[in-house]
Amino acid sequence: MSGQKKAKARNKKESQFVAVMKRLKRNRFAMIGLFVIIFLLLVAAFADVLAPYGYAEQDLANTFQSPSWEHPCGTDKLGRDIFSRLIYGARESLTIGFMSVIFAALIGMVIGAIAGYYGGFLDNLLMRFLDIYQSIPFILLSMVLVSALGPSTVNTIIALSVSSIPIFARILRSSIMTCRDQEYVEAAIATNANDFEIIFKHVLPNAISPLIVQVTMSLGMSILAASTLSFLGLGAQPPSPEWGTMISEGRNYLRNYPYLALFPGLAIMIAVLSFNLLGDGLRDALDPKLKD
Amino acid sequence: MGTLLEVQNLKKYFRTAAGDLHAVDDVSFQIEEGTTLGVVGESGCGKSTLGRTVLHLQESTGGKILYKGEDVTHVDKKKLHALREEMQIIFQDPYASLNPRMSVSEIIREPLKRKGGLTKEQLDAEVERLMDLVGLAQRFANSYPHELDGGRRQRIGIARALSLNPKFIVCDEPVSALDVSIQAQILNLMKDLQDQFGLTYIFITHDLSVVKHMSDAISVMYLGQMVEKAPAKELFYHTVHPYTKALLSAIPIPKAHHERKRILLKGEITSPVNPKPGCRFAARCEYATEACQEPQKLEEVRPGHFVSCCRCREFL
Repeated sequence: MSGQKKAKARNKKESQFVAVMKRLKRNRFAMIGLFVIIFLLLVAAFADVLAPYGYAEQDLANTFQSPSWEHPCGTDKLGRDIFSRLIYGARESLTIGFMSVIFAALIGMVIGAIAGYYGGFLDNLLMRFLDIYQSIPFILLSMVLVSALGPSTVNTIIALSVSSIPIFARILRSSIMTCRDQEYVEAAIATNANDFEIIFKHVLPNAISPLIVQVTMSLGMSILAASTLSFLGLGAQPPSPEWGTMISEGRNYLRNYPYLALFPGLAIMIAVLSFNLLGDGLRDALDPKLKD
Repeated sequence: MGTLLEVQNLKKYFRTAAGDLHAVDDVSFQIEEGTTLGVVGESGCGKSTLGRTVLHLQESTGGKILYKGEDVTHVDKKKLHALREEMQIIFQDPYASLNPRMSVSEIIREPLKRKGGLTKEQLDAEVERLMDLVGLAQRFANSYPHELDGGRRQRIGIARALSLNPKFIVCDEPVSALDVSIQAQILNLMKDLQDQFGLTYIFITHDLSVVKHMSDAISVMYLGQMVEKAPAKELFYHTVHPYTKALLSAIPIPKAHHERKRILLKGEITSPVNPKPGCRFAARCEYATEACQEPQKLEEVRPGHFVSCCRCREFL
């Protein structure tokens, strides 16, 4: 009876997601990254409930307070609670990170898929265009775009996504090119599959893994870049609690009140590290050929 | 039984920076229904390209393909789809020819689903039948290809090729990626299936002992051209073309202290890009003369035995 049950259990098909999660679970660092990211997302979602004070709530009687029970991370020059600002800042920073990467990945995917699948002249045209594009450093291009559009959160998102499109396009193009010539694609053609089926059933599922890893890694990078822009005064504008903006504001008081810049800096570091750890783990977990 | 497939002067050139690469050049043959044509030759001689061009996986540059007497060299999409249900392919590498993200049953089911006209229960039953047919245990239905060994994976490939009920299958080195012990199993399976369904095979291989076991007739290719073509036994016992002789002398003989004459070819393969007219093997052939620089013709030296060599009469 138990043998029969066991055979049946083995027969049950595992979904791709379950299989990937199973492999991911074995990587402790990736799981830590995943939990921190989920935690940050929850914090961002429930910022209104969690934050003890509003992010722009001033208390001029209590400026430059050191960390205490009342203000776990202290207060700034206007008496605003740093801890609450960090919590609201998670919302800002994660939104910028996710939105810019999602846009960039979507546009990059379309360009990369077309270039990789059809090849030839079209591929050459698109890739030479991206070459020119990529000859401008990522952060410089973002800065130019944001200063041309005017500093704001939305423009930061636009600038960051536009500047990171080429990476996604290139990654998907190269992985599609390797999958396109595989014999299972030829087998699908030999059994009358149409272009749509070939791209979405045979090529993309096998080509998408490096892109997913890149998306995860880029999330961290994008948060960091957004903070850089804010730090330079080109990103989210005060009183926005974006983490980079907070560091920028704390910079002037670094000698006497280092915690003003330290805590947002730590927040950025933890977020970026978590995304990178998760990305690293996903790279291994997404390979179906790795033995369980 | 009549002729199922006839190929006349088939050409497939690839355009390269250096010029046209003549992968298949002026190849003609015909296959009787229910028989196997073995195609042998060294790597890069155009065997696989020949198979793929016949299946319209690559467009031919010139020549004619006749299926059941009908010219199918250039067909529209609808006709092509109908044709592909009758003509299938088994690939060389059972690791590359199966989508790693689809389970065994999904892979076999896909062509059937695409064809349509079956309910879900009928599809399940059909997949089950195909798995039985190729000797795959049902417990593998939900496994992924990477969980199975090479032999089982090749069985999946065979089941997929059979799913549309083809009459004609191109077998592109189906066993060269497998262990010798498993090769025999797969070859026997293919023979059984041929007897059972009256299948017609083009069997592409570089392994001469395999081709002898499988084929009714054998064609030998060298650099895109057919140099010798004969019934299997005839080719082995009355070899004429110097290249075929060299090829056959490479078959290992499982006997100790066995003296044999091994013909070693010298020189490099001539480039298939913009080849000169004349015999392409001449540069490596010990019998080459002036006359070999002229274009060669296939000559029938014995009944059913064709050789493309100007000195073939001397070698009889």
